[in-house]
Amino acid sequence: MYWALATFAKLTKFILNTLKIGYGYTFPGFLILKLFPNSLGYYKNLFPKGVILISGTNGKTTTAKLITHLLKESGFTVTHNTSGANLPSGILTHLLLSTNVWGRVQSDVAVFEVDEFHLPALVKALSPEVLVLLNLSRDQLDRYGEVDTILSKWQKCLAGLPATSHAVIDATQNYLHSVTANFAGTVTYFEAATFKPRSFFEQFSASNIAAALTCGALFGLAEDVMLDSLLTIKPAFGRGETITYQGKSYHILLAKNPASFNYNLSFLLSTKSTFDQVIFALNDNIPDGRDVSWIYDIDAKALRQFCEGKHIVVSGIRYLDMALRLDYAGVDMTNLSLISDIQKAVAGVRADNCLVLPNYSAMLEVRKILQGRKIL
Amino acid sequence: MKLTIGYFYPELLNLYGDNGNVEILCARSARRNIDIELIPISLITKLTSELMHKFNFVFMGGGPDAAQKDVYHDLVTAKGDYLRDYIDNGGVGLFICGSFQLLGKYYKAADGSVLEGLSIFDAYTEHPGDNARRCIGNVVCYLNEHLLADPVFQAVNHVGDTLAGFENHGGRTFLESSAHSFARVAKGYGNNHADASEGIWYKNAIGTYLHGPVLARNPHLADYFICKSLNVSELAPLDDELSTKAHFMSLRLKQ
Repeated sequence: MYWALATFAKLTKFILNTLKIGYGYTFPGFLILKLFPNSLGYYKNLFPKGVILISGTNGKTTTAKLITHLLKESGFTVTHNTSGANLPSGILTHLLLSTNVWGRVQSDVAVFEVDEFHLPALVKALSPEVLVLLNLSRDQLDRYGEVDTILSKWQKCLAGLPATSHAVIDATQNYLHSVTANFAGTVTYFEAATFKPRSFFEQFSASNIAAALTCGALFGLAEDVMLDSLLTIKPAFGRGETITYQGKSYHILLAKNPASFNYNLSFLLSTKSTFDQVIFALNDNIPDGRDVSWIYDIDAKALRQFCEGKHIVVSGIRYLDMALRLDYAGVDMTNLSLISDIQKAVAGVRADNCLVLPNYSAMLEVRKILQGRKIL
Repeated sequence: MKLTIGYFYPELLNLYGDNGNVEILCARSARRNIDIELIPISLITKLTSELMHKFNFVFMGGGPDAAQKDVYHDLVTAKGDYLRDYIDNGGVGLFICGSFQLLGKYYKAADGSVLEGLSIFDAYTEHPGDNARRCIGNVVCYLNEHLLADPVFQAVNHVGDTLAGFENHGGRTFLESSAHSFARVAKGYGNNHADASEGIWYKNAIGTYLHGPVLARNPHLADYFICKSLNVSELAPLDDELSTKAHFMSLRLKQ
């Protein structure tokens, strides 16, 4: 039976990906879950070193990537939802792809980022050895009164885990601590402040790195070895990347919605980052969403504070909307340039250190310019 | 002179940057040295006629369905009558999307269930069912010519007769024959994708589907509200080069 499902998954994924239809990493799992709703449970206790689940509103992709990297560098073989498909269907697809047709797993450990709403179902099905909980973005979810609902669901699912399991939780997110109330396992807290960043990426991802280091330690990885491994990791597109172009450093922080924009601003303000020049790039292409109204959900005060004393360049298809938003936020408009063409905005940078805050398609455009090649 | 804004349900009805409208009114008033007081009204606020009398502008945005149900209950049981008195007596207000719908006669949801509205606006809204396409996209429309002809509007209008915005709604709103639309759609769906009407204009209150937020790229509308609220016939002009440029660029956006 298993061989049929696994073969089906591999074949479907292959066909969908070859034909570039998409859904290659979700559709097989989606269909199999419809037919066999309990199929995820098959993988419980199947990985020799266990399963690690990572959840939270911000940073789960980066944290899962970091943990995978650290484990691999230390010789583990890892199954990981690299595609970012973090719903049960995506995770089941990755599990099916990672096993041979007899249902034997071919890696030591599984590392999955999981959507926060679907975490309870996956915890129940997979009984993870390690559960990493990062945060729940209150400003986004509080509007719908959903933070408390999710927290109580998390608390319930943790109560069902055995005493051998570990919960790794951000010490600074106090509201998260209640989820371990009825948890029988061991709780380990991590904190960004304990980690000394060595690059822009490490600074931006400090709390994700602290989570990954804590998680790695549970698997017996030595700290100095992990710190060395970190130096070889490449950040995901636009998430704290630094690209050198014509002798200047461009730091890119993807800012594609109010949550990521506000998170970036609070990071930049808290670390007192010094950039002489900042480019805001706002497009309204299909992958961005045509509606740019959300820029008024950016915290005006943080925006004003951050822009103070910096040379600001506003760019992208909707540069006028972005400039107007800055104006209404009370940003000093005398030190601001309007350059709609992103290419010209990037080429016109005079400062040695430039920060770019682009939304999605603008970020791809910026990377393409800086790397001199197409990426998509 | 003081602009006192009653901002209804800021924590519940704040989708699509609509809170920006309040920020914009405050910024444009502050630049003219007009005092501002912002009074948030939430579910737990005890509304009184005294408090309502303090307001010279009322704002209410749109929200997710769950939030709108809570708001609806609060309006029907506690705050609706105050709001009706305010608007019927010529109070100035802006009601976006979901609140525009709630102020009408009723809202018939996609599943056929009917929610009685406050019947302040002579309009009703029906959702044509989950299979119908949502009305999403950029909008360009022409202001109601009678509104445009209001001397107060003329005094502050340095933009023209157009409005630019973005709409995102499932419900279709129909105005009764006695009601006046806020604008006429040139690009976009408008109230119902049938009669080219956009929003409603009733006394000094306006209901509209335009997000953006609507006052960002329509500075003439923002100043009209400030003038009406303060009951003055003109305002000191501001440097509106950027907002006017943004307005005219928006007229060229694809739907």
